[in-house]
Amino acid sequence: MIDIACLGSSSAGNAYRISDGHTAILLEAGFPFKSLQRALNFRMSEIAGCLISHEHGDHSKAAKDVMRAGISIYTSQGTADALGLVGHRLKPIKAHQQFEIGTWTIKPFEIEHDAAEPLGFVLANTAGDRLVFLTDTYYCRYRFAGLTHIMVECNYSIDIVNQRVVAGQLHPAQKKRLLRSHFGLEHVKGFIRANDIRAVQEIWLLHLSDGNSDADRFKREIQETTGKMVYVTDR
Amino acid sequence: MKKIILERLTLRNFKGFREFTLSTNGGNADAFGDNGSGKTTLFDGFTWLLFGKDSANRSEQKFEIKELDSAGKVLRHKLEHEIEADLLVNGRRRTFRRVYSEKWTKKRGSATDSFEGHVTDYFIDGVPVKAGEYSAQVDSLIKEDLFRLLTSPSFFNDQLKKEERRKVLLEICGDITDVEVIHSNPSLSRLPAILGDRDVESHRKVVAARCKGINEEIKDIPVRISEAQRSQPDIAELDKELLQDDIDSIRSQIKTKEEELLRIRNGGESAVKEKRIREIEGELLAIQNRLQSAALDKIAVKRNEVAELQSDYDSMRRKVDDANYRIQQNERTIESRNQEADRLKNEWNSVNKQEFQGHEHDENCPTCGRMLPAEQIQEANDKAVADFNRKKAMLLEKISAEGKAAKDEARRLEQDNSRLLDEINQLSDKLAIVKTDLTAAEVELTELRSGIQDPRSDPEYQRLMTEKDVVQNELTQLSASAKDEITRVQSDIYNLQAELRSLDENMAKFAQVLKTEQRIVELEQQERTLAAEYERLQEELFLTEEFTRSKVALLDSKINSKFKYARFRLFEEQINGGLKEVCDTLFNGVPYDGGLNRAAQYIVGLDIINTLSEYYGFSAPIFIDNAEAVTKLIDTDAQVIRLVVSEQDKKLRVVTQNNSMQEAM
Repeated sequence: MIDIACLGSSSAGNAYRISDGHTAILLEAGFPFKSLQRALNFRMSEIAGCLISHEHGDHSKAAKDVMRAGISIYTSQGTADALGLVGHRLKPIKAHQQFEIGTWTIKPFEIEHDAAEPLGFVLANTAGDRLVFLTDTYYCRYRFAGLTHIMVECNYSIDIVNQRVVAGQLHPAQKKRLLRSHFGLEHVKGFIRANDIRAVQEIWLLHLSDGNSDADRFKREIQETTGKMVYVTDR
Repeated sequence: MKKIILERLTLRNFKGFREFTLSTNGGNADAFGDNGSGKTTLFDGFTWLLFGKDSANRSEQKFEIKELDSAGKVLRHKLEHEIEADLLVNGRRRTFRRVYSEKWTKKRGSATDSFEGHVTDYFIDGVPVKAGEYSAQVDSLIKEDLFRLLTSPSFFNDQLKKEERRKVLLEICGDITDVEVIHSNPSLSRLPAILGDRDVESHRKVVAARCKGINEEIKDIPVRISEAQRSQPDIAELDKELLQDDIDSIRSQIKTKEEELLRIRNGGESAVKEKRIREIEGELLAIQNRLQSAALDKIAVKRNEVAELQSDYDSMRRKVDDANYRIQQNERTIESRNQEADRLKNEWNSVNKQEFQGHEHDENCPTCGRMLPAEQIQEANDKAVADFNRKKAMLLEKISAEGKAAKDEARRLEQDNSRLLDEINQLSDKLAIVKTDLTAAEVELTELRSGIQDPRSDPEYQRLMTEKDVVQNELTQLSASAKDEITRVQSDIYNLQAELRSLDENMAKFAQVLKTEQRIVELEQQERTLAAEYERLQEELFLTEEFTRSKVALLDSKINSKFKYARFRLFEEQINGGLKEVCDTLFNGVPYDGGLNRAAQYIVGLDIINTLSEYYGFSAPIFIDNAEAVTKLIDTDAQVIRLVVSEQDKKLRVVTQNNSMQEAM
């Protein structure tokens, strides 16, 4: 049984605590350390390891402080270099080379984002849970078998983006960047359809854009697409 | 409620007033005057009377009490500067008077007075009192700090430090206990356990200090880990299992070699050969014995025989020699005896021939010299002849005996010699016989001796001797070659050991790596422990901050409820999320010293005075300087003395509540 806690999920900062009751893992560290601590009720020391998908600040801000707190950071060498991370708490990982943290077995895979060496993660535990974490990518080239939990960015909906461009609220260049770096509602649906989701228990929609999203609508549409429990992170 | 009302205030020679009386008739009063006309001096006089300080809290050494000329010099010396006031204390009139004057004394022998300093005299209700008594009386009316708070609307905000302001406010509203604060916020429920006996503030300090310490330790750990990592030997090229196999193999080789060495040293083969040599020697001896023992027995017998014969011969020879020797000896003695006998014979003949020759002696008495008588001389002569003869006879007898003895001995020795000669002749015959026997026996012995067989001629003996030589040779070679062998094996062992050492060194790298890794794990564990401790402390800090925030919220509402207009900000949120204690007075959200106009400042000040008066149950005259700034003051129960700037009033003009007017004299 996986327990997912969203500590923050927006361009202001991303962090999630994933626990299977034995090992707690931090996904991303995109907040000031103090805020992370507070969000974790000062239980940071119970975190066994922290995965960081890429170097952008809203995913990595507290990386150095997390390491200083004696928690190992697992991230690609590209991300580590971009962040200037060094030391014994840095565990460089590579796409498709699986590794373990406590009861979790984690397999990273490449994602598509304007960052040095961004990664997504599949986390499996000994209890048979299988979680995919996919954020800040405009495309996913992999399919995953036996998923029980999906955590996926659902940043925007293309029709909202288009309306805002027409209304002059969004610069076309921003739209272009958005489409080449983030996962939108339409992609989420495509991604879910491409995977066998019979075993899926929870779908978490992450990282909704402030302007380009509609939480209620996104939730409803994904519910309609999947018939699964859908959570929309609200901050 | 204790109420003090200023009924009359008289100033003499005080800050430019020669003499001025402010009478209030027991009510509010307004004093009008242009700038410099002495309005504030009224307030200064009042505070100086009571506390010896002006309204700005300065003593008379710090503010000029005396009237000065335009050059700033004291106009007149030797004046008495005094203030006198009638105060109605809850309706009872008390008169206070303070007189400040210069002290001049004329020293003996001096024509003029000299200035000795100042003296202050005190009077209560007309009676002079000591300074201590005076201040005790004033103190019993009103405490100085409280008085200042209650008499000036600006005192609280302008002159109190923020800590003092907070203290006053907290006193009024009654501080909130930690328990109340904790109770007000459920997230603080763990705080009491964390705090223990400490209060929140001191706990914050303790925690902050510990955080600092832990932080330094935590900072140090990555350095120590990277040191450990750097000190790790490189084992990338090494395979532990292969290494162990090599080590095992070399160890067993060394063991084998050492056993070989031991075997060579103990000399297994040499021992066998040495034993063989001893056996051969035994056999050789046996052969020799077997071959020679019979002949030797005969030789021994013959040798004994020869030895006996020789011994007989020798003994006889010795006897012959002895006899010859004795014969020679005897002949020498015989000759000497015979010569002695001849000599004695001649001697005897000569003695025998001797005749008495007469007596030719002295015929005179030897004593008296007288000639002796003849008979006496004859008698003497006869006697002499007789004596001569007797002696001659005895001598002859003696010589004869001696001669005879010599002859006898010579005879006896001649007989002895002839007997010895006989004996020699007999022995010589025997000697010849023994000599013949001896020679024969010696020949026989020689024959026997030459008849013994030499074992060397025995073929078995020869074979054994050859074998012995061969074995001896082999043994020599063997010991020579063993030396070489030992050297060779030792060198092998040495080489193997060198190889083993190098392998062991490599192997030790693994142990070193393991040790270092364990050290790193330990350090990482320590880091996590420290981090957890640090986080716990951070949480405690957060809780204490949360506590303070809760307390702030409680305090704010509690304090602000006590005031009509004034609002107070007691805490300021820091950028780092912490709280800083402040005490800012606000009016309609505007800070007192941050843009609040004079009127609002007075309103706030009066509001504070009202609340304080109510709290302390006490009211005192309130002096409002620059009262013209406010068109309408808020109500207060206390007596109010407004000091109003009024350009046309070049001299101070006092208007009391019932509009009666006074002018400065």
